Amino acid sequence: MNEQPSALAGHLDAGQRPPQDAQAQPAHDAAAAPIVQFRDVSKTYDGLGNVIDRLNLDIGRGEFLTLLGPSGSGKTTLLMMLAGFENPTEGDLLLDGRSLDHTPAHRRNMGIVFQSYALFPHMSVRRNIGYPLLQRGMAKAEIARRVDEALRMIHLDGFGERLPAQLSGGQQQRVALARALVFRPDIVLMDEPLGALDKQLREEMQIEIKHLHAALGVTVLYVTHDQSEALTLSDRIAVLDKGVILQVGTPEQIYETPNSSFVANFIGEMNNFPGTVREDEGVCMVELDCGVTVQATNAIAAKPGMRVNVAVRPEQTILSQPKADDTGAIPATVRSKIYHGDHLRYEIEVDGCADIMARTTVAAPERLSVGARVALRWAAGSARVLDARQAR
Amino acid sequence: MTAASPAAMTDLRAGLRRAERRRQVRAFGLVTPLLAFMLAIFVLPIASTLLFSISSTEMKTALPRTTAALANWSGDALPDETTYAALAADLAQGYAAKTVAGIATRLNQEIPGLRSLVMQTARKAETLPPPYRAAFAAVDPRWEDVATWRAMKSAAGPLTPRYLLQVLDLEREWDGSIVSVAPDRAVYITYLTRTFWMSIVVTLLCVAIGYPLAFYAAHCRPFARRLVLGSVLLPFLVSVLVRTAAWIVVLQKNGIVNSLLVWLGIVDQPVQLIFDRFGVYVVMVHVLLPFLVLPLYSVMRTIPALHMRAASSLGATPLSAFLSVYLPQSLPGLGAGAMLVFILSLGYYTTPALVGGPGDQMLSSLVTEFALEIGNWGMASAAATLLLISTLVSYLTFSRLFRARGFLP
Repeated sequence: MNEQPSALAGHLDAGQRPPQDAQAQPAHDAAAAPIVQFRDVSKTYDGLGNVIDRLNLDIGRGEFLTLLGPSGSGKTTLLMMLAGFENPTEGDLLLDGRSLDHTPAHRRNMGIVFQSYALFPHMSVRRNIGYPLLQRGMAKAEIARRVDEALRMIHLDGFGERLPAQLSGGQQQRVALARALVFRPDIVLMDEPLGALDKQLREEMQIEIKHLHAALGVTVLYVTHDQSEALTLSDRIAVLDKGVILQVGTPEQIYETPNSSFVANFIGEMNNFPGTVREDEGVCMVELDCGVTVQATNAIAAKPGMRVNVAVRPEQTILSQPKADDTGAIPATVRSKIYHGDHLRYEIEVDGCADIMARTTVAAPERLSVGARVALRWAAGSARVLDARQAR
Repeated sequence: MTAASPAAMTDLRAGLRRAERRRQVRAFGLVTPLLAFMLAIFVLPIASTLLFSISSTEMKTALPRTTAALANWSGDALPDETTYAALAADLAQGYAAKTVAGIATRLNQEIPGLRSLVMQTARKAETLPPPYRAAFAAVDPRWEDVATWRAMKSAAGPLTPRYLLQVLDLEREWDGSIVSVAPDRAVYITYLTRTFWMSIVVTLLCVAIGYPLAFYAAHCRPFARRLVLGSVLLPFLVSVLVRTAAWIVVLQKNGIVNSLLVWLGIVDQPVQLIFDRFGVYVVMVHVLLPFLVLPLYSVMRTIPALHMRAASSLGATPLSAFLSVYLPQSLPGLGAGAMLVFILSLGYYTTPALVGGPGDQMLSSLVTEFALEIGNWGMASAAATLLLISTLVSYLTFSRLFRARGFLP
């Protein structure tokens, strides 16, 4: 599995770019030479509400950028605008610095992988993959050669004469991928391409797509609502909600330093402690509703008196036996314990506050029993002050 | 559970077979009414039509003795005196029983003029004195012509290719060779070519009008779809006669269309729009359009709009995307619809009869004419058989054409 994408890259790209090490991080600099720029782009269908609201985003050449958001957040609309199937109501779309306003979809040279694959059911696998080459007026012999290569690389040699309906879902997905890459597009747009596959196949394809990207150096704009998929694949993630980009950053940045409650709760699991900011001189002190005052990183420049959420990841929590001289520890009760093999999860009821989840390694020194009183703390610097928006 | 003994296994198998047989009997019982209905309403009439088109039993019924006498006649020379005697007896009996007119008409089909010859001779048959050959010759010299007797031998049956050949403007010589009839008598083959030509034109017109219509209906907003499909289906709710009459009102000399054309100054005089080929086409297309639109629409509804987007993202211009991605996927619907329209056109009767001129009549009108006006059931059946064969051939051609490309209409 690991060999195959690099082979695909080497074949597809022979003579075009020096093959890169599949394991290396692709070099890119979004700010220096963006291949795609969204400039104050708005989109409305009914003239009342904006599906996309004054959105700005740069995609670096060779970058793997994921648009992550719940359904209805506008991520597919964004993709369709870039592909040329929708027009922005306001704002500009630039490709290599040139406006795409008057470039119809068929001249944008972008490969698209759709969730439903959109393979042409009346054409054989060969004709599907050769389709973009045929449309570009390529000679028959050259098309045949490239299609043969592509088939070998997606490990479907001998399947060329089959119809898409005679392939499994994973095989169809590979054909769709080959078809979107075979004409060496500047950028590949993927609209939840793995949404229709089962979990195991999805993980296999994730690895394959990651390798393909690294090896081909092709720019990828990937749309998904699956946060783990976004974390696995992306160089950068843009989190969308209601047509607005809330945060753009590397997976680490998005996961570890979210700057809004929405992002914090959409990516991974998060514990939210509602509270009020008491002081913000050097260190930010928040009085939680459960009565304890804690220190947290102020991610939203909250002023004293503001209602906020203090957000802590379950794996940053520390549970211990309560002691008489505990300060800054939150008294709580263990409600349930779930054994997950590689870790333990505790459901904790904080006195006078909502339930939270805690996560410890199986090797944690203290195993707590259900019903036990515990003291809850977290690693220094791991709590973030975020907006008080109701956690999802 | 322990392993079953061989005897038990055999019992089990027999039991299963019995159960299977019971199931089959029950299933057959359930479809029996349908089978009986099909047999009575569909299979038997068609079989008898086919039989009528080749059968020739009038001689045997009306002139039994002559038919028997002619059975061993070679046809090289005039038949012997026995045959003349047999004919005299048959004619005398037939004249008394008033069955002679039928056979006279039948023989007239073989050679024009034989009707009056037979009728005239039959009137005198009882009084004819032997020797009969001389007596017959005295009544009319044509009884001395071997062609007259050959005609009777040809008609003796029980089977004859005459009707089937005649609707194709062919006839069989005495020596068995098949030749075209004289050009001035070749009137039927035009019905066949005209039927095919008009069906092709109607089908093409329906495709030209129906394809864009179905496309629009399949991919527009629900409200517009209801409107379009409603107006396509509306004619189904109105009887063919009313629809046709409405077209006559619209297209006649001082009808709406002509008034509009004159008012707009496009024509000076009202033009002929109905009771000619144009009118037939207009009405037939109107009536048959739903048969094209509905199958096409239902197939087009299943073609994802995403395919056109995918094609365009892969570099296809809208036209190229349509031709290479959309059209091929819509072909099964188009094939099924076009086949329906073509086959229905082949057998069309009402519209040409009501709004067509004499030069616009199709095969079915030939059937009506022979059956209802002339009373020649042989020819009527032959025309119907020709229509049936044309339909079958068209169906097979269509389904081969579309099945060969992997489409199943």
